[in-house]
Amino acid sequence: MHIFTKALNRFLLVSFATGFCFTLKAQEKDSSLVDTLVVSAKAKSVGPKVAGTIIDSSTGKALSGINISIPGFSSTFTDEKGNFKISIPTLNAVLIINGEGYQTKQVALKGKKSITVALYEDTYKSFYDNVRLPYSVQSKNIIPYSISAITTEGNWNKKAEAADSYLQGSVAGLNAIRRSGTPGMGANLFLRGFNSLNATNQPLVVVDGMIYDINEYSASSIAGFQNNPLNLIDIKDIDNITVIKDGASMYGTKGANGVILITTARAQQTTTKIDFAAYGGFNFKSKNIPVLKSGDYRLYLSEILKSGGMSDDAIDALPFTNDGEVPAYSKNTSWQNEVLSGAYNQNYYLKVTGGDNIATYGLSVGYLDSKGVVSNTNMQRYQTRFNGDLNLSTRLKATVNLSFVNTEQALKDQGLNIRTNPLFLALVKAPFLPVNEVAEDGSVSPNLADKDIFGISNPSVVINESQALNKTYRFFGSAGFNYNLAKNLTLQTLLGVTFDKSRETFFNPAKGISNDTLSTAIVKNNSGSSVSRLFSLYNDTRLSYMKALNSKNQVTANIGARFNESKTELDYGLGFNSATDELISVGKGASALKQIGGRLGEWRWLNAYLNADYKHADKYFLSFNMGIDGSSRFGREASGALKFNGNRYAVLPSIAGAWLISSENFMNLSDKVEMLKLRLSYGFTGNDDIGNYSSKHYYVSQNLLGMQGLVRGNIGNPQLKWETVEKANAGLDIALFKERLNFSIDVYSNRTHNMLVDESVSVIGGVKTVWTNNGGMQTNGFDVEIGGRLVNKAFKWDMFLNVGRYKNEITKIPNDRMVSEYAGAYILTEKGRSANLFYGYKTNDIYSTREEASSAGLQYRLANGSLAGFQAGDVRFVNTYGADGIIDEKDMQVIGDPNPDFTGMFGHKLKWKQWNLDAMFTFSSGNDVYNRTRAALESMSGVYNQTEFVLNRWRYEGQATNVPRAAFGDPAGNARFSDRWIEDGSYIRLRTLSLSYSVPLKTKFLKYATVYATANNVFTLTKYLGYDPEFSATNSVIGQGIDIGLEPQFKSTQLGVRIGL
Amino acid sequence: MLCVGLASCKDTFDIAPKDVLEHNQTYRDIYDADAAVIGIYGKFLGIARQHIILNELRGDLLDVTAKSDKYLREINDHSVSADNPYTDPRLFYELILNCNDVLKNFDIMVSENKITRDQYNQRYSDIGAVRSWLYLQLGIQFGEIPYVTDPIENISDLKDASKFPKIGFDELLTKLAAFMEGLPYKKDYATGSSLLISVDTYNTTKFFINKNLVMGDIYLWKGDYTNAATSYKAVLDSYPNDQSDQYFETYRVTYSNANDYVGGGNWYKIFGQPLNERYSNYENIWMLPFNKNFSPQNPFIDLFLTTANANSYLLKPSAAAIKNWDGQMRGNVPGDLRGGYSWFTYNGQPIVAKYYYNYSPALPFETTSKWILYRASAVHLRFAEAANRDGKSKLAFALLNNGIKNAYDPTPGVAGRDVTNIMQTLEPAPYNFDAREGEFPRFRGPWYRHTGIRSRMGLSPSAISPADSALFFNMTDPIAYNRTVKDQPKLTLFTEDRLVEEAGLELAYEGYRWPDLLRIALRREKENTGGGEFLYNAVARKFTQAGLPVPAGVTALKTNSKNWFLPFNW
Repeated sequence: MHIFTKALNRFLLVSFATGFCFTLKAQEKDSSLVDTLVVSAKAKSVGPKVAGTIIDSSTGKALSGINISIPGFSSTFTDEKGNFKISIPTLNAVLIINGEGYQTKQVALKGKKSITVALYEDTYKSFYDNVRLPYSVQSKNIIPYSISAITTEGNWNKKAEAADSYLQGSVAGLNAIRRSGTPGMGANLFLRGFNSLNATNQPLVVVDGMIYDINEYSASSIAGFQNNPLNLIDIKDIDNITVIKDGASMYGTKGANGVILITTARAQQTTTKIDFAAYGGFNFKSKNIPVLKSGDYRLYLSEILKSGGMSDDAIDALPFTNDGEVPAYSKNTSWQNEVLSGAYNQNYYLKVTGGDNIATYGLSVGYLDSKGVVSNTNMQRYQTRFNGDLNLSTRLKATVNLSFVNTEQALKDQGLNIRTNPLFLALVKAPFLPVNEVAEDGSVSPNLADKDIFGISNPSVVINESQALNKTYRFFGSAGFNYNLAKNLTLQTLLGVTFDKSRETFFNPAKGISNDTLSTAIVKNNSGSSVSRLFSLYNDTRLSYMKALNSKNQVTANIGARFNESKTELDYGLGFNSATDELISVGKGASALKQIGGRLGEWRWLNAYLNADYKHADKYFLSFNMGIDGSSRFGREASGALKFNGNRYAVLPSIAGAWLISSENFMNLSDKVEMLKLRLSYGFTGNDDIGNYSSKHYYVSQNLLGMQGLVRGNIGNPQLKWETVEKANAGLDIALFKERLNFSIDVYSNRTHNMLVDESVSVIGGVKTVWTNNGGMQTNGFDVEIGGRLVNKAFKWDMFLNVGRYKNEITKIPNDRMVSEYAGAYILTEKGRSANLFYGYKTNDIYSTREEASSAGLQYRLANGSLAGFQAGDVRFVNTYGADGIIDEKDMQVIGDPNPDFTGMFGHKLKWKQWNLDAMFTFSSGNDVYNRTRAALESMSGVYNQTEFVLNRWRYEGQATNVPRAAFGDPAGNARFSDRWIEDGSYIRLRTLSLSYSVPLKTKFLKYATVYATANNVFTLTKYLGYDPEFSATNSVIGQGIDIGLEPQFKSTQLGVRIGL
Repeated sequence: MLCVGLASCKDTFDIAPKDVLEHNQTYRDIYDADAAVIGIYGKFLGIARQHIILNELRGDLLDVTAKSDKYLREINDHSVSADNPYTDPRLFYELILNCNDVLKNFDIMVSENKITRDQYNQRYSDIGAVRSWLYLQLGIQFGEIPYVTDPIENISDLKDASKFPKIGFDELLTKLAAFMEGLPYKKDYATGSSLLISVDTYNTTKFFINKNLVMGDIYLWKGDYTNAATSYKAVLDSYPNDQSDQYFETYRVTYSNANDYVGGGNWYKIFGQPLNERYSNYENIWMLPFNKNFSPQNPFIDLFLTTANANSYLLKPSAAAIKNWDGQMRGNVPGDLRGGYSWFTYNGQPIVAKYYYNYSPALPFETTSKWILYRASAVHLRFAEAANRDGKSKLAFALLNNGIKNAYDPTPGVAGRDVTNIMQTLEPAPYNFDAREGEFPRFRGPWYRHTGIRSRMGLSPSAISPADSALFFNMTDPIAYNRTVKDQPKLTLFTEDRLVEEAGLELAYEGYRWPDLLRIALRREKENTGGGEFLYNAVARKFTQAGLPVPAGVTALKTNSKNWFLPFNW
């Protein structure tokens, strides 16, 4: 709470320092309609007139007080019967219609003199919605790019989650894969597949005009965890999100993966609005994976020990072999119940917006406490945000955006860390062991049991005694000025800073946790602490020009530059073997074993940009964008670059055009087609995530004993440059039947040139690989977005569907082929195929008899190079490379593809009187998953507990089973990386279901009150055998679809109330 | 505006790496120069494992164990597959790249007066010698290799493969010899040098390569025996007039203070004592430390010993090696003490003991030890090899067996003689040894304590049997001392066989074996005296003595000298 109050104080100080004071006094409702479109009726507007009627689309009732305008020409309002009359410059003019509570709409007259227009309520998703673009706000029906826009309506009915998870399902073509069930971990965002092997594939995020850095610069010291900057944006603070999928050349070498523009809470009106919301909810424990119970495990254990060469007598003498003999080995513990539990979550949020005609502001504060399903884990978030808009003079406007968000997270190790991952330990731990110490006479101690006879940690000790804390905060603030130089000319600048700091500490006690080994000592207990920082300075300055050449032609242009300088720092310390488990800090570790280290990074980026938009007759739209980028990361001899003063600049142009076919007169024939637009775009974007210093040749330190010498760190590549992504997109936006049915379809092709690869070089270079630009890939695909209103009466039923599909292909890679390893999986990256295919052995049942095994005649190679034949009970691996009769790496083949065939969402929105029901289903189809956890739980190679699948293991000659034999150490490699562990990761999930009820109020004190009931991850239809089919263990393309045992997604519900004052 | 302003500044994007150093942040003063030298030696430790594996497992004294992987077996069987990681020369070239970089920058530093000419001479010659040693090693293993002396700074420098043609071993040796001759400084770092310091309880004096030894080796491989002997003699004659134990022990294989004497039962101390530049480490001329507190960790423990690590004990002494030691005689007592100190049985398995002494399985993390790269016995044997090839077989025998004083004494054991004209070789340099020890007049020649390799261990001389004597010597003179050589070529070959046998007994598992066998085989191949046979016989014994069939790769050694080298297709 301390940090929170500190932050609040700081924020208040800043607010006052800006000389900005705001009143919380409620003001009379402003009679003038505030809109982004300037309305200025000119007295001398003469010309033909049109008449018309505006009605409500669902009730058909005439609407009064609706504004009809032709910007810069004329404007009027409807009368009480919904009728209006307005002067128009020509009969081909476009009317802009809006009214409070209703959508804004554009109507092309196409020569008609009388029209009737039906309006939907303002929350209806329409092509006429205003969309925020980098330089302006425009109606979506005239934008030539492929974009998706989300208007959040406050997200009151949503569970508090990270902004990236929130995006899941909302944008066609954006495959947001939630990393894990850990609160705040967020999602990996793959917009239209991926464009790079080694550089980032995450889109650029811009919040309120400033780049919001979401890269992970230093891995967390807590296994399986990732600091997620997008967790530091409360989704209730988000007003709208625009996703630009094609030709984001304006962001130069940062736009290759598309751009996500986020606008946070600002005042829409000068009226003071106070929203308060409070939620409480419950997270449900995940369903257990069925592992063996004590009896079956005991049998399995005897069998596996015997296969390892132990005699029956020796096994019989072991303390655990006979049930009941030794109390400490006679329990039946469900370890999963010990580490997984249901938990509560709560969330409070207050937002105040308002102001006057000089200044408006949006202020929010919030608190979130979300517990994880792994016991004793949670995430707490304190946040505050202040956005202000000031009219300092008629020409000068200013904006202030400040946010400070602090999270504190209690975590547990996850994933590949088998020493301290409680979830994995709970699966493999012997069920006959007790949670607490048990004496010989059977009495139970309050102390937790130590590591067991097999050296495996006690999961309950990890839960109750281990510590893993992450404390992160980010200050993200900017101030902007906008000066109107002349009628058509505006100069604006935005200056901002990001300061992000993350501090982690962890400790694992000696008692209860298995020993680890350093090269110089056995590790009993260990501790760690780290601090990572990001400091970033940002400026965006531009000159904007807008001119209507005549009634038909309009030009807008922007020229400017963005500059970013960032510094990162990581410092860490590791301590080992402190004297007792009470001494948990690094400083208390044995001094000879302490390790310290760190990393520093720094880079500068300059993006000069030019934007020119041209509009003709409100039907033809052209947009040209160009980024010219310099960066400290680029090599000084980069080819294909603009040379200026010794530096190399990337030149990345793009052009987009749209034809609003429905505004053509010939389209008058059909009133079925409300809107039809064809979009085409082509251009270049870049990716500068090539390493801060890879282009330079540098030196690193090399010790000789404690002396520090210097040696060459690399072979520099002064030709190293950005990756270029060439993007082509064709799209159609169609609204039919008076907007009852809307859909967009986009077909795209992204080609990555100069893709960053780790290229092998001649041995005489002394290094294995050098970063070069000798790769390429291509991703083609399509996105479809469909929405519409099925029932449009008092009961309203809207339906949505979006689907994305991509196909990736490596077009160029050194040696045409590369096999990577991650978490025991082999991943093939080969020219002509997708970048990340699972590459392993195919299997075909098992040998059930000795005869079968020997007649197959296949052999495998032992570690020492000698050959051995498969036995009965071994897996029958497919011998692709038949000549040698040996199952080895030559027999590996593609056994799975983690890329989905389709991903997307479908949803329903039902509205009846005060009731609203939203349901959103997300789905992923055709993606393969490597279930590494199951590979450990069914390998039958050691003392780990196994799943019930192994009950049917091969035990005798001729046994009809598909489960191989138990064999200590798995000599035949039955558990090797094969299609046995590849599963179909397809799923359909009811992602959110929310019901809200607006309480009818008669009081003046409250403006409104709404009650929400929300459920998340309600059900998931999948064949996947692990906890949950959705996870993303790394940000890398290679590593997707690999279940390394992270905390699973879980069900949750919440009940909440929102009150408006 | 801002954009133009930033772009017009040339250094806007010139950000120096923060946790690494760019070139202009290095090589500024003598401390940077020293850091460059330290960096090379620090990295040098990284090749220890590969160096020992290639040079010993390809020879006859080391064998694979049940735990050895496929690749070690390939090395053992002389049939290496293309992806065998032990034959990847990358670590060597990485060091060479660094040496090239250092040499180039030293040139720049001295020309810009950032270091003095004297500082330059010492450091340049040191790193130049390290590079030559590395190339010699590559030549020994691969035969034909690319000889690169430019520092490759950028990938564009690497692209043009024609810039780095492979050259043959002979050409390589010629280039190396010329380069070494051109070095401005051949001695050890001068007293007072900033590199001669004490660090982490170690004295750095013996960390640095001995340039004369590198030159001696290069000439010996080239077949330039007088020059080889001259270079080795320069080492043997270090501090020629100093009669202290230190210099006798270090350079003149001799007796000294009984407690510290590293012969006889103390021989194991050469390996067993902690790295130190004094006493029991006198014998060691060039050695580097492995300290448990610093990386890299000692690679030999897992390689040779049974430890907690499941992948340990990968290599063991061969049956042939054990037999060699067992076959030696100390008077009437069979066995060579060095055998017992070079290997022994641990938990029922034979292990290489030379790497065991500082280690105890009960203290698995106490891995501090040393890597001996050159020691006095090796210099003596190589000098003897050169002398023998230069027609000085008697001198070679003296070094091998019981020392100069005894070998050049017609009436050994007689007291009170005038020794003015005996106990010395009376040969021109480099074969001039004065081992006189007499009282009337008093003589204490610089070599008066010299004992010979075998005599130091109390072993009977590796003698020529009377039957064999007739093959080589003119037997008409009844006094053996006065007999002249009848057939010098035969005697040379015979002596060479004895020398290489002795090297196997004395220097096993220290990284000398395969080069010794190969050098002699190449020499004999050139003069048509059965190089292939020699190499085959030596290596095949490893298999036949162990009761195993001789692998095809070993048989192929007999037929073509191309098979003696590893394929260089990296």
